[in-house]
Amino acid sequence: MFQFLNFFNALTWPMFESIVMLIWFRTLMGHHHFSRRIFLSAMCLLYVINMVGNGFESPLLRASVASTLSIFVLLLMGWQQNIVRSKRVILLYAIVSSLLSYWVINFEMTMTTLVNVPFVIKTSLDFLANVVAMLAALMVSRVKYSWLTEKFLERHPTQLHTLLFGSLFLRVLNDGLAYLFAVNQFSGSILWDFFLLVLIVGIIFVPVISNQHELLHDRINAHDVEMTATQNYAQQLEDKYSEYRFFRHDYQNILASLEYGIQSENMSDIKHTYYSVIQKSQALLPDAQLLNLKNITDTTLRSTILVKHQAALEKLITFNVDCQQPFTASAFEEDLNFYRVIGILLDNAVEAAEKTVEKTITVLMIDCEEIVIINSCTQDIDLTKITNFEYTTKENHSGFGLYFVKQYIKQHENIELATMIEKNHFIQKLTLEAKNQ
Amino acid sequence: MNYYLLEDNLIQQDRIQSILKSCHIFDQPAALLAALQADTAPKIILLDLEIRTVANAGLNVAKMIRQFDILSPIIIVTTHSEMAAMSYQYQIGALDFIDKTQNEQQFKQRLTSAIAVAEQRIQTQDVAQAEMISLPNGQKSEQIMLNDIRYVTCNDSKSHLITVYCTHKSVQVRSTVKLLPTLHEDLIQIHAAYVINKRHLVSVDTAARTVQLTDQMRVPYSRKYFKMIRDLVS
Repeated sequence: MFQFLNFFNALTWPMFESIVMLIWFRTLMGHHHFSRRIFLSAMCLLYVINMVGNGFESPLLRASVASTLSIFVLLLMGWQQNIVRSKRVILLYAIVSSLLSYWVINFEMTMTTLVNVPFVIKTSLDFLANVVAMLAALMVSRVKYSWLTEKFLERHPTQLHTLLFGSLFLRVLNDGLAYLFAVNQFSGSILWDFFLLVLIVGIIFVPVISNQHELLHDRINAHDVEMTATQNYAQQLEDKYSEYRFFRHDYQNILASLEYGIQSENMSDIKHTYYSVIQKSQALLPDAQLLNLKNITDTTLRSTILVKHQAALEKLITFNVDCQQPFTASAFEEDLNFYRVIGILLDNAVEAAEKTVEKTITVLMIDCEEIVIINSCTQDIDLTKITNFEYTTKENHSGFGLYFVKQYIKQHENIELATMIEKNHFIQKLTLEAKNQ
Repeated sequence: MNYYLLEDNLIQQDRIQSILKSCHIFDQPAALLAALQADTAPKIILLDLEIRTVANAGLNVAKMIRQFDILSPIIIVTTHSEMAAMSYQYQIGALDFIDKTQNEQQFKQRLTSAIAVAEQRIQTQDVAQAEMISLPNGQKSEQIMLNDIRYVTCNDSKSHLITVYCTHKSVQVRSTVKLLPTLHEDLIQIHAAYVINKRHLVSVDTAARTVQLTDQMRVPYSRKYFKMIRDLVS
């Protein structure tokens, strides 16, 4: 009975370890969906690694090989799946998952060494600890909170490096302690285990919290920009209105002289006045090319366009919006990233149009399902390169914009982007799907 | 060549007819659409955007025309100068956008030159080749004229983005190179990353291992497909 239990434990232990590690890794990588093939092969690999790692005679190898190799496997897996572009972020979360997966069992071992228990009970406790570790990992993974910190960490290399070195240090320290434990020079300490847990949780939550903080800050800033844009727009409308009033006044004068000409039946007077009307009306009629925003019922979308419109006007770009029917993006109303996509595309349009002679941007909104951004552009852009990570036309810029757009489109089934270049016009066409389709 | 005009203002009808003598004039969209569908000869269509009885007439009529006729040049004649010409060019492939408020001389000049461009376009295009294919883009699709396609290539192996190079434009969508040959028999794969339209295949350069397409475009091929390409060229 005892032998069977021992054998059973030796078989299942590595399996639990690998499954728990994978679950944690998946949760930390923002619930990335790994294909079953990848998941299973990674699991087998981790199983073999842990099996072999636990089988070493030398305590030093037993303490370090399995954990190091399994971090390596997770790193490779994340890399191959192309989840985030920064390998350091993947490494950080691989280390954190390995720390987390070993923590429960370490804690259990500490406890059992403190209290002397018979061997049979200890073995079953080991098994129980493995089950608990897996349940804990599963439970956390049920919380469908997308961490989204990988993008944040990519933008803040200092924080990333600090966390990475912190976690590396913890990993090495843990391996060292495991070695001491194996040669019976260290019997474990509950205090240290708890301290370790706090540190791991800290590593996970520091970026989450700073990310939230930054998002909040961004939103306040964006709100300020929107306010200014709206005020400017109102000012421009008022200016147009006074131009209209001025024209109306002039127009009435012309009509009066026309009527006088008709009454006195003086054809040359009429002709003279008429042609002056045509000339004046062409010179005086205010340019009606203001925005056609009233049909955009989605206020966030409207203000996004308004902000970019103001930016375009400052750069003397003609910015037209053509929206004939009421337009709303109902499926995306709650999704701030959708508006960020629109913002990025408009930013790029402004930037490209600024460099051309034509300087025009046209935004078309058709039947609640198509948003088309057309801008004049100069050189022939190679479409095969534009969405690459590092591709950028901006100085001091990481080329993040279109990469973000591409990822967004990839992750959402109800939106597609087609990019076209036609006769010096760059066209980005977003096709949306209504919510209830 | 047949000319069609949709315009409900009598004076404007006369004005355009004085420039285009043999113009068929309609003041209702339905009648125009029926006449266009019945006529198989090459035609140029002039549309006013504002028809009193129908809201948004011009654009809707143009879209309806495009459903059965993707080739005939459409020229917009309007007072709506604030409307973005770009928007019509994009949505219905409008050839030109002529402002009615110009003086007679300018108006005549613009209209005749637009008609000349349209006639030239009709002469250079071959109706038999106006076949559209629907290019898959993720869950959606894009319409593209088959004869326009020169070649298709992918951005990089992981991205699932492909770029379709046409005569005057290029289009990038989410799809795979492998999928294209299934869309039409004229699209053939010549390399793991390249599909060409065999209508545009000109010659093979065995030394550089490339094929040449019309408009001096060169695309690499892989040896696996060489025999098939050689048979096509000869």
